[in-house]
Amino acid sequence: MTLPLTDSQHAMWLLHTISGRGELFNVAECLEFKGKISASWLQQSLQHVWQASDMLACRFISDDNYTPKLHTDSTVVKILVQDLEQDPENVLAFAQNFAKPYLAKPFDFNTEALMKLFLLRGPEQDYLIIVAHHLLLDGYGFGLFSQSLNRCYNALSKGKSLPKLRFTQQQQLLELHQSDDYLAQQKKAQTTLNQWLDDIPKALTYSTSKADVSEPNHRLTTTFSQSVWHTIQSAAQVTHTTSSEILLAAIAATLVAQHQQYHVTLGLVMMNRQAMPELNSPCVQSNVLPLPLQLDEDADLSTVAILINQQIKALKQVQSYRVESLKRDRQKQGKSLSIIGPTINLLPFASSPKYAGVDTCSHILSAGTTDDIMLQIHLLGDAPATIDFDSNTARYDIAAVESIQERIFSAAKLWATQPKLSLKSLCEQLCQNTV
Amino acid sequence: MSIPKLNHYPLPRDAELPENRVDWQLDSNRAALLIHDVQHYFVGFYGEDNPLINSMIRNIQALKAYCYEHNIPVYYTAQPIKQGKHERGLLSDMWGPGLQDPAQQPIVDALAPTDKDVVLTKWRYSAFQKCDFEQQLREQQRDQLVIVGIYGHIGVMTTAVDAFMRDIEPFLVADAIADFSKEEHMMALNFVAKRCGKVVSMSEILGTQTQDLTSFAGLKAHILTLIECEEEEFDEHESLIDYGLDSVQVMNLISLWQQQGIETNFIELAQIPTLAAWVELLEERKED
Repeated sequence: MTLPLTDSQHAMWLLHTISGRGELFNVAECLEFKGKISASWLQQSLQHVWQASDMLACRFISDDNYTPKLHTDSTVVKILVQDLEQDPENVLAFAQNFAKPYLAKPFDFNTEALMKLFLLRGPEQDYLIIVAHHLLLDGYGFGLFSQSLNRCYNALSKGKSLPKLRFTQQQQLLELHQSDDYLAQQKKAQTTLNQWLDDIPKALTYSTSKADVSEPNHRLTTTFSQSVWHTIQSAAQVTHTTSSEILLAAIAATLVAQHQQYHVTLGLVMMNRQAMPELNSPCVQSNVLPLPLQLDEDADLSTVAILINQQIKALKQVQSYRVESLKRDRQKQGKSLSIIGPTINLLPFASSPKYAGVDTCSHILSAGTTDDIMLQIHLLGDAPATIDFDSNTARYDIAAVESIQERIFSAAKLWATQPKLSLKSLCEQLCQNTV
Repeated sequence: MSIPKLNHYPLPRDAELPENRVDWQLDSNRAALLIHDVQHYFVGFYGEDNPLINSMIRNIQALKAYCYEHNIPVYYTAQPIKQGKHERGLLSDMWGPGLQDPAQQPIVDALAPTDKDVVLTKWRYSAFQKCDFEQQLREQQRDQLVIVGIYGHIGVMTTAVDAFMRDIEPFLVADAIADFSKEEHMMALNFVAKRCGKVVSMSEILGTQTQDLTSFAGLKAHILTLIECEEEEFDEHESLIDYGLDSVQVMNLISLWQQQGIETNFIELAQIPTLAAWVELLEERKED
């Protein structure tokens, strides 16, 4: 069967095709098993998950007119098994190194399934490395896929029948996205987002230079200390907001301090899943949209965090309108294409499921690419958040990224410690620290 | 050498408290309350308007009112100013000269002692050292001591250990104590629960109900505070995502459930995003 693509799938297909650098849209994760698992149960589980949705069991084939279609193909991806002589000491570095050549090679949409899996078997532990195209899975989709794999594996290990997976089929998602209600919502979102952008100055980021998305990316990973995280959690209680809103407030403050301008527009990765068919789809849905924040110099942490909360709520109402379409609108109107500052991705999907009693630990090896800077914020409940600073090396050298990281962490600590501090005072302190 | 500048952190929730080894029951005819070292000097290290200190003071006020109501005697400790080297002993080596300014010596205004209360002079970590506190308790026929105040892992914990060795049952009120950090706060609670006393919460002493976030009613009440919806308009079979519950709020719920030993994850909750389905899932997990 052949079906058209959804807007999100199509946007990702276009990026892949037009850029000529399809490998930039590869993502990879390593699931570290804290023991040994059954390769046969894992392959059976994969088969069940793979065939649960035509969004996975398919090829994305295009004709001579560059019109891509989803062509169902039930051939199941084979997990390639390799033995390791010894277990790696640094699993993340080992897995990154292993995945590197696969991440560097673009998938061939016409012939290949958009996922490769490798089971690496050490003497003590096993490691599952998944390399996929962003079109097939976004952050949420990866979580949905992994969780389903885990459910199937555990069912097999207990001698139970495989669970019925509630995955959405492509046709269901297309019907939702072609419904009158959805289209009306998108039309309204288009008007609202363009209006927002008309009302605000050009978005500024940490760098004033420009770079192409195809330039290499660099990652700096930092975790909050336990005591600072506790203070952030406490500040969230006091301000009746959440720790993620406090982090966003701190990021906004660093931009205010740098540019001496109280208008900040962050780019926020939106899950873009509201209805059940979207929540049960593994394929890409996520969208990056502008989060404009008009801040007041006298505002304290509570005021800014509440404003952020309200703006995110407003953004949720318009999240179905794709950023690519928004940029096209701006271009047609002859307006600036700098519509977002640094991109923020809040990731609450962490989980460490057990495979028949074997603990696991997940390592994200690559979550895509950026032409600017992207902050992947891993929210881990009570445990301190970790932030990956993924930056485009043509715009940021290592020292620049370290400086951004230090400013954001200082802003978060200072403001959480003294929530009544005004934004202006906070920025003054940040500038003094930087000097 | 002095006490460091201190930050705020969230007071532990009931579900975070360690398991007690003893099953002592607090008896208002046997108990006394000790409000430990809540002097301007020690509170000052937290800075002005510190959320942790504000919460602790509010809780101690409620506890003190409860004690008055139940005829439980209330004691305070307060360190004296300008102690000589001999008086202060090894404390000088560890913490420097200590309290010097007379204005910093009194108990903070919000907890100022009344004529009914007894203020003990504090010389060492333990309130019992170089002081007739034990004798005063015996005279009042009190062999249970409810301890609150600062700092959890220093004077509060040491006083609990000393009480235990004098056959006085110490009760540490987990959310009426402040410490240098949450780690040290939890360390003190863990030590006392396992080795020398009982850790209790405000709600346990006052007999107030805490929300059970795994029950239908408790979870519904909690979720209604997170979304913009009137209770009568809320439908437990409608999608919580449509009601505006966001991913970070879901993560917070996941960690609260985790503290009660229930494992869930964002993806499985997002696939069945209704209150009714979540309660059903929680019930299943409890049985597991």
